[in-house]
Amino acid sequence: MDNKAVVLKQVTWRPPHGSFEFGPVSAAAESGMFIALVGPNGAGKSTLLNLVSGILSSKEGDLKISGKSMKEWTARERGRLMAFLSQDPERPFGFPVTEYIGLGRFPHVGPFRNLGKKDREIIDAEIKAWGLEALKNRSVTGLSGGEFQRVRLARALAQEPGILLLDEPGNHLDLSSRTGILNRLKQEAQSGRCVIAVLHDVNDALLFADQVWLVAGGRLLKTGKPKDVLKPVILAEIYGVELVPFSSQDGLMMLGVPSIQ
Amino acid sequence: MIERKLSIAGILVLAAVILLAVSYGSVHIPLSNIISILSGHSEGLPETWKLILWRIRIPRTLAAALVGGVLATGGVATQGLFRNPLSEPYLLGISSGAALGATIAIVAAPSLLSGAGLGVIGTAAFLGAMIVTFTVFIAAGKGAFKLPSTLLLSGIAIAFLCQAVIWLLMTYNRDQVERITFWTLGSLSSAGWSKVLWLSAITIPSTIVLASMGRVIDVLSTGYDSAHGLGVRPQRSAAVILAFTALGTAAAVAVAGSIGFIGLMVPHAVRLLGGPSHRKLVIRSWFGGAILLVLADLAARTVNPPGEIPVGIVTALLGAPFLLILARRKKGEGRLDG
Repeated sequence: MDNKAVVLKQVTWRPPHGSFEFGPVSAAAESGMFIALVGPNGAGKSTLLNLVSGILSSKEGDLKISGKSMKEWTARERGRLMAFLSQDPERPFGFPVTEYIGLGRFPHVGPFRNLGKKDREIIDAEIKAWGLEALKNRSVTGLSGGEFQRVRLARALAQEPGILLLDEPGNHLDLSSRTGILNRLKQEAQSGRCVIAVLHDVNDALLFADQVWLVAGGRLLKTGKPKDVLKPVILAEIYGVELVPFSSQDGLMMLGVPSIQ
Repeated sequence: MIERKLSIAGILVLAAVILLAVSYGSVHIPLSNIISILSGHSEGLPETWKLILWRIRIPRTLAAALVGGVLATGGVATQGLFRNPLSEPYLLGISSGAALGATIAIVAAPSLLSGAGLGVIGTAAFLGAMIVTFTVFIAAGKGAFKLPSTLLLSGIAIAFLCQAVIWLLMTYNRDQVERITFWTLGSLSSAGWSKVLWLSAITIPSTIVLASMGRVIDVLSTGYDSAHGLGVRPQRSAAVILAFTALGTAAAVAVAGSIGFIGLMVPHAVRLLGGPSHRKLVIRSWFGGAILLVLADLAARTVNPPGEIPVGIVTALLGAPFLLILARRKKGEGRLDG
């Protein structure tokens, strides 16, 4: 079986207006991998994620998802294959948490069928996994930013996708929830899913990701193991900030900002 | 359990208010006599009662139910799609387009009486609604469903434009001002069987399509990117939903004028009663809208008999306090959009 979940070959994208150009980009993401997209604001990380998710479609280059091009998948097949957690903060008014997470089952049940026993079990398991029991019947409109982010993650995972695309999944979350998410994503990758997430903290990428794709200026600058990609020299060049490496207690490399100038 | 009860309650209450509405009016026809007339045992009852029931009250009441129902389902669809609790179907330019069409017809051919079917004014209103709505979509451009505010803004701008043309036409046709004003305020007084048939032919299919797309509306209400990720084609689904909303609403407005507040108010009330899931909200709101407009029309023609007040005034009088209460309630919960 082909374990290449996502393959990009010379993919290029130009917005209808403006001078920004993304690509050409070539890379491959395998199942069982946790890939962190790292790079400065406006570098094109979200564009890359939008291209892979199919929200943007590039006319140049070749993009294959699970061996087929985007056009060969129907919308619902795509929904079963791939979950996408964007940054858009929309909340449908009045939706209770359980029903909102249940929307993650849409690609499986379709527009007409009722949720079955298996669907309910999956939803309940996600509610438990994200510690949302107490919020179950609350409306999503009234949740705090962090609570809603956990609900959205639960929805994305209830989709049971082979490929998980996440744009800054740690947004709005405190340290413990953020670590919780990263651990869960790593676990999902180990269980065979392909996880691609935009991460802003280079240390998160160093500690959790299997691979880092470094995005800068609309290009994929470097891909590989976190330690090899996130070198202080390279980061200093793209972020314009000096970073010093230090070792955490268990010997893992971390990067810190040396001092305030 | 509660859900089943709510649907049965909807059907029973609608049947009850329809009986009430055909019973009362300038002449009161007792319920027992209505049943005898309906079942064909009308010996000894005044011939005028039969005429009033069959020719006037029954078609008018059915038209009220069909118009109210479709306006409310249109409200559900637009509120869900635009993720905006203040949306209503008229924002797409439907009512202003219909008003412009009707005004042009009234001004251009004042001597034409409403004939069979929709009549000249109704047909002009329907065409006006469809043309203006189409223009709103074109003006909003390609990304309209991704950023609903562009669609709403373009709807509002074009509504102002239509209103300006209407006022201009009124300025030069002073003798028709009253007719135009009353048309705009909305009325069901001209609804006969041919209009009921016409309304059924358009609004029932449009409601069925919207109801069948309830879960798709759920998914779309999570936002454009989310909906895409959940396995729908947001652009295409939104276009289908809005097209059927526009069609149904235009049919209603062509028959009854722009009756306000139903499309805005009913979905909120039904959501409070039975939850926000659109799969049920569409059908329930249809019943809610039908019940409300049948009652409002009954009030409009019985408050001060034999005169009538425009039904749009009744719905506005009911709707404004309702919205204020809703706003206060939401404020109490610390949010305006829940």
